[in-house]
Amino acid sequence: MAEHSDRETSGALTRGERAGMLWRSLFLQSVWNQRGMQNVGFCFAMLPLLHRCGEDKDERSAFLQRHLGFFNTNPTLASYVLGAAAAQEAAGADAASVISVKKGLASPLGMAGDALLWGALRPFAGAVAVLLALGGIVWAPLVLLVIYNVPHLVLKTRGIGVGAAAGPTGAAELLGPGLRAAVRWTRALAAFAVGLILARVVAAGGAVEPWRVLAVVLFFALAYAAARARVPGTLVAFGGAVGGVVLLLAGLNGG
Amino acid sequence: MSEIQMIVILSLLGGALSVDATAALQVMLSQPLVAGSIAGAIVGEPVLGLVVGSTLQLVWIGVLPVGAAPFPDGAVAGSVGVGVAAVLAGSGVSEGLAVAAGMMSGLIGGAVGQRVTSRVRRLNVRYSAIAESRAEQGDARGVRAAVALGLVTRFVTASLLVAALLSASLLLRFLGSFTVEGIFPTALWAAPVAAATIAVGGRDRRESWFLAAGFAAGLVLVVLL
Repeated sequence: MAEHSDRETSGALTRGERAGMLWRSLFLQSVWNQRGMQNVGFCFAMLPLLHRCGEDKDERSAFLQRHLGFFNTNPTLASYVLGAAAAQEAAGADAASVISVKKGLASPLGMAGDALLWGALRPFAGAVAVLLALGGIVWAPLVLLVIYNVPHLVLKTRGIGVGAAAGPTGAAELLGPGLRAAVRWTRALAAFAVGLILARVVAAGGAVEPWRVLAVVLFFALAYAAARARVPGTLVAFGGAVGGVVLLLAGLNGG
Repeated sequence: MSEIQMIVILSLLGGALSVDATAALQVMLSQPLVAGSIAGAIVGEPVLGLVVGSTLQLVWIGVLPVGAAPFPDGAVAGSVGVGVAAVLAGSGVSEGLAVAAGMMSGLIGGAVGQRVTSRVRRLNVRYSAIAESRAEQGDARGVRAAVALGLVTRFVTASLLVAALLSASLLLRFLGSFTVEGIFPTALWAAPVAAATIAVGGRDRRESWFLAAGFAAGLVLVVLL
């Protein structure tokens, strides 16, 4: 494998390269597979830098192959890894250094991003939107999109710049106690919203009717027992819906 | 809109929104509430779309699509669920029964979509191999081709799945022969809300207190307002 002596190493990433990487990062998981996971998507996102290898086939091959290696992290925070890896490439770092940066950041950012975005922000956005939907607000789905996507897109956009400027240490802004607090409080607010939804279901119609409370308690107990027995949530909900239909067809009406 | 037209449009919608789940963007268009609402607006039943989408959103509120973990396909679920509910509602079936059937169809669609996703991911290994093979020659076109193939595969498989499930659901029209009055929303909502409560509020003491506070506040608001 040829050394990277012919590679353009002007240092800073251009605005066009950063914009190209940001756009392509939206397709990071387009070819998610069990073997390389996000490997193809990561390489695709790095393609704006391929021109720095010139026409040297060995340079281009080495560049492509080191970015087609196994990679997996949270798709939003992957932008930090992309920025850091791109900065390494732009500075002419050797293959081992580039791969080391990728591997070093993937795991911690994966855990942080999954906890924040999938584990906290998405449930919160979903719960708030459902609460609004229950109130008959037809633009409730827009609320979900806004609540989730503002932080999501800010982090995604910021990540490339921070990663490129500060390298591996740039991700430190996401890995401290501030993130853990954000996750805890967002999940707490999501739980509060779900509590409101529960009350809305129990007290639908403006009054807390005994039969409605009984129905909720009964179904809730069954669902909770099933969940504790690790029955998949989809099956639990399906069972609840079947139960509801049976009651409906048996003539137990409600409003 | 004829039923054939509805099936075609919702299939294309389900396929397009399913791409958002992992293959591209990931801006939550594939969430059941969003997908269901869009589907509902398209078929002229926006409220039905909101209700069916909301139940499915709650059921899967705690799903973590991390790493290789499987996850239900919310876009397929929303498209199928709303399509089924709309067909039944248009056949004279009571609203409650239509919502229940929509929710159950959506659950089935999401679960089957999950299996299809696993198959697609296995196919993606071949696309990755194409990219790697071309990369050895210094040719980036293999990477671009793999990405395009991944996106198209995702769209086509999800669209076909929605079309198949919606077509099968037309058989449910026999339910229109039941003349049932009224709805029983509490039973239908209890299970999804229970699932959501366990996922968000049942695993941590702080979350449990917030859940209880939300419940108490909600009861007060509903009774007073």
